[in-house]
Amino acid sequence: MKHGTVHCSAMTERPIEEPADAELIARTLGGSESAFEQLARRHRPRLFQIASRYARDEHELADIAQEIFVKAYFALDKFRGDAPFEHWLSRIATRTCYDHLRSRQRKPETTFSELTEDQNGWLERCGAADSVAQEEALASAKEAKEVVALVLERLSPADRMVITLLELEDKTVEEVASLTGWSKTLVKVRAFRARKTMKRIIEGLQHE
Amino acid sequence: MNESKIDRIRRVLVRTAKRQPELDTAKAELGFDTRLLAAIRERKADDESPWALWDRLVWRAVPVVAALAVVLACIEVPGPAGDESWLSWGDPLGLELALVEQVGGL
Repeated sequence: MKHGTVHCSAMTERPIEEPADAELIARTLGGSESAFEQLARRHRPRLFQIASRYARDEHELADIAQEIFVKAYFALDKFRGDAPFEHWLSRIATRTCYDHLRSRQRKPETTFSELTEDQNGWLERCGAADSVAQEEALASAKEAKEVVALVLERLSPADRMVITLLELEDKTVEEVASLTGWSKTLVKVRAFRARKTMKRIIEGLQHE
Repeated sequence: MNESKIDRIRRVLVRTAKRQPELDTAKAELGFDTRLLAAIRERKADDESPWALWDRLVWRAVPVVAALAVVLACIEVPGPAGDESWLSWGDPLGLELALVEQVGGL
């Protein structure tokens, strides 16, 4: 079910007792905290989904999500209603996640450790895989998750953002441009560089 | 290691990453509403405090003051004609001479 958006088409799909986003926004701007609470609860699953791509644990996830909603609350009077509220919120979420990556880069908590024997073995097996079934099995391995985390942590915030949006969430260049506020050309250039950097990181892992 | 191997590893890693995240969102959502409203109230209170108002005013004044400083630095203030006292700060050589006169009693 589509939740209440400002558009009329979405309004027809919503149960009568559930107020539309536009109504909740108006009530929030009028000073109602419970209206914003309702709005936040409605859009929370999607925002948690977005933020979980960039958070390292549940505490960080909760912190990012909170920052997104706080920013949205104080910028609510700038929402013009010419696009669905969810899109507007997703833009705030993406930019907050990007800011979060940048601040994390400024004060890194993790030190890059060498690969374990298992992770090295996984890379070897992965490089030698010659069927989709093998690749599929390798993608589900515990080591795959660990290596992914290592690679993503070594990418710059912009590289990680563009890889996440384009390749992990299958967004189009236009969508990425709209979410990040970058031009389409910049998205393309960053995507090209990010893929190259990712390959270089993988190559580097091999030699560790 | 040739290029195709790296491409293959990258493809598998992207496939793995697509399946993630495996973070427990239910755990993160526990008590979220309460904390969110508390954070909003806290920021509202911060924004309404006199210190926050003062802070905003100071930050707004920064560009104006900086611009003024640049303008003042660009304007050459001529010292009084014929004044060779140590107060003639616009002329470093004059200042040096004045200091030598004071110290050495020349």
